[in-house]
Amino acid sequence: MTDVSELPNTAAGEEILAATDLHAFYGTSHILRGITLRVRRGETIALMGRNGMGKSTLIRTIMGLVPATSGRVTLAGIDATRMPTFARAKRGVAYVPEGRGIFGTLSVAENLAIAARPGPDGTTEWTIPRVLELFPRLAERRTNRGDQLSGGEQQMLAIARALLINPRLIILDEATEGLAPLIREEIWATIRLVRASGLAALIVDKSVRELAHVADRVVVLVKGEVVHEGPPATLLADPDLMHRHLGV
Amino acid sequence: MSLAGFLAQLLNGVQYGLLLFLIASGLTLIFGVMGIINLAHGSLFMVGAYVAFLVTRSVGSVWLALPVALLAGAAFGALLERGLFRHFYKRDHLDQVLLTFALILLFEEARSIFVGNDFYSVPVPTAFDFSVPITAGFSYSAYRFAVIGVCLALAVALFLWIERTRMGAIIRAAAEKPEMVDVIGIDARRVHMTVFAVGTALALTAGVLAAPLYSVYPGMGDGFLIISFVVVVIGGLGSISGAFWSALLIGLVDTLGKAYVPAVAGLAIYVLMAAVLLWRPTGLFGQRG
Repeated sequence: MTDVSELPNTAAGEEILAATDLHAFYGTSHILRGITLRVRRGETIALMGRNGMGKSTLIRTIMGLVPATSGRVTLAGIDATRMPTFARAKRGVAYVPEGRGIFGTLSVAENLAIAARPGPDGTTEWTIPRVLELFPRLAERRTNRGDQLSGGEQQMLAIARALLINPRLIILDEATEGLAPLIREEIWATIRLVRASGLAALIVDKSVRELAHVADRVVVLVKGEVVHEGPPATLLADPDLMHRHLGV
Repeated sequence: MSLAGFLAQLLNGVQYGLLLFLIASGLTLIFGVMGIINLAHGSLFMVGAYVAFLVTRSVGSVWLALPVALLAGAAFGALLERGLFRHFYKRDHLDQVLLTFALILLFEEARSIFVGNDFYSVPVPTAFDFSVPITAGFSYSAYRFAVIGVCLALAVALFLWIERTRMGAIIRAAAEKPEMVDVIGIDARRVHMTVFAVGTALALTAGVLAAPLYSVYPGMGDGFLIISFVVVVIGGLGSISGAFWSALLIGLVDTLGKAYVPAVAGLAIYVLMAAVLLWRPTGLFGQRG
């Protein structure tokens, strides 16, 4: 019998996501132009760049929702370049898309129930009672339909649902967009909590400063290429870089 | 107009409507989840009727045809999805229509080769070949009551499956945001196969139940397909409960119309459809907006 903890692809510090020289097109426009991005276990990456620079396309290519025309995607050491989206999710990548992607015609309880599953190593750290504990507001609204929730509640539902697949990596695309300041703070608190639980995260957000504060590393995209990569402090200390690539 | 006659027509209308629901529910489910308008759905109904004919001819009872239609229908539906339909979801609507139209021709040709082009009547099962007395002067076919019972049982089962089970929730989720179903780790291809299997099984079952009532004949699926489309449109594309109430409405309007105002009955349901579409373009139970 093999002890699961001894398997090489679950070792601490291991890369749980490696995108290598990724290219992708949207119609005829070349959106991703050779992006290489690595996320190690427990690491939080801030993916930054102005609108239209390829952040969402990169995420969708990682998820298999946009086909990579060349390059490789590896998940915990396994080549996932040709894996269908559901198989990537089962290999531990959770994705909260821009616009949240919750099922509006399903109840809150159903939204959670259809997502809940053990993670790739058989872990069941995140269960429905536990996410409801994390978001008590969802517990109160269990029987409500998804489309009856407020924007903040929908975002909580989307994050709760993502956690329930017991991922190794959670990808958040514009999770605080369009929310009231108080709710945004609640979402950031959740992100910090998720980070503290040891889950790796890849985050896109317009609030550069908040994002830089939770990130271990910042990756900046310009026209489908990585133009800067480093610790958040370097970015925050370089007003020129912030202005040129992020417009801040 | 006698009260007994009216009651009989009322029951006929309910029975016809429930049979339409079995066909329309599969049609609306397949459209709702996969976005495919399956013109061959009426042919599947015809296949069910011929299954009833062949089973009755060789075994002597139509009842054995019911489990055959449910199980073989589900397997056949899954096979059709896996082999054909799956490759057409991302194609444009014209390709999809051509595929399902070609299937109609194939099913009709296969029927012609294997069974022939004659009309055949299918005997009502002997256990139900009597009339149930309702009032002193009025009795009603036990077989039609049985059809109503089977259809209602299937409707309730379908409703509970869609509304109360995990798989049902996944199917509703897939109809709303197909991409997100995959994102949460569910293989949407299996959802599609399941939906097709259930839709096909229901169409075949409707065909089995209909065979003793309407006989079996070439092209018998076409008329039922067109009326089922009216049901689906009035009920709201993709809505199971919409299809249920709409099927009952159409069954009653069509049956009572033919009985009492035969001159305009042929038109009645289409006028009704036009009126509903003008008043509520997404159907009676469709999502608005």
